Amino acid sequence: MALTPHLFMGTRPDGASGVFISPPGVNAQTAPVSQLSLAITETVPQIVLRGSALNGQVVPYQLGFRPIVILTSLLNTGVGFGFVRPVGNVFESNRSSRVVVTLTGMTISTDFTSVGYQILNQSLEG
Amino acid sequence: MPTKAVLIGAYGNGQQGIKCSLPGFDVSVLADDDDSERRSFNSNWTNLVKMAQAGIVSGRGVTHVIPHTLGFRPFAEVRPYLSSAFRIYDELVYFRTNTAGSSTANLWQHALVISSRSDALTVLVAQQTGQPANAAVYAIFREAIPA
Repeated sequence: MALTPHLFMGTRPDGASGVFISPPGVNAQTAPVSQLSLAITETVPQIVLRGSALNGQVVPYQLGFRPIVILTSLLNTGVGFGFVRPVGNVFESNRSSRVVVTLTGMTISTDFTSVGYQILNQSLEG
Repeated sequence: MPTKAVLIGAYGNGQQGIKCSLPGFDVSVLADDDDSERRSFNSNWTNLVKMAQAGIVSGRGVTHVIPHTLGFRPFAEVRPYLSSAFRIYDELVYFRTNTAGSSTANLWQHALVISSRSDALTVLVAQQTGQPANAAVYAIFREAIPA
């Protein structure tokens, strides 16, 4: 029985070199890049760091630029973020979350239980 | 001893692949393999949401049209942004009661996706006078909104 390569390191038939990972049932060596889980040579925007943090917490990074960050306020820890988010907190009076993004990290300010963050590999400064 | 963060090969439950844990979580704990708050990546996940485009639109009180070439109506995230202070806000359309002096008013700001089309995203950055955000950051995902 031939196994489908799930992880491929090297040069693919399309000429792209790097590390390629595919989901189950997809050939990491030959499938179109659009079908792969990870193609390390891709330069498209990606999430480079994510997590959740409390008010006052500093999230350090060393990207060499001020990154774009997507914040999602959380009413309870353990609730997912991104597309899955708590509901019912729209129009909350006088409550929000925000960060000030510097070159070496960001400081979390939130009026909620915590805040989920997704740091992108894209610069705020173009 | 440092926490193991990357595993390539046998997971110990008959599966093989590559997986990475988020800081503070041991990658060898099988019970965490599908927990996206403890794993940053697991090659056994059948679908990962990929990002197609990210950036900034500047200007308050107006709608911004962001073209893309995806050919389907994508999911997107957008957040208010104050560029002069590099401050990014959360997703909430939030009201702040101003009780200064004898007047009381509800102050609000938001950045919203007005429409997601197969060739462009339309974003509105708006707020009442005095609120800080003058721009928005956005991310467009390579994931179609179901018809």
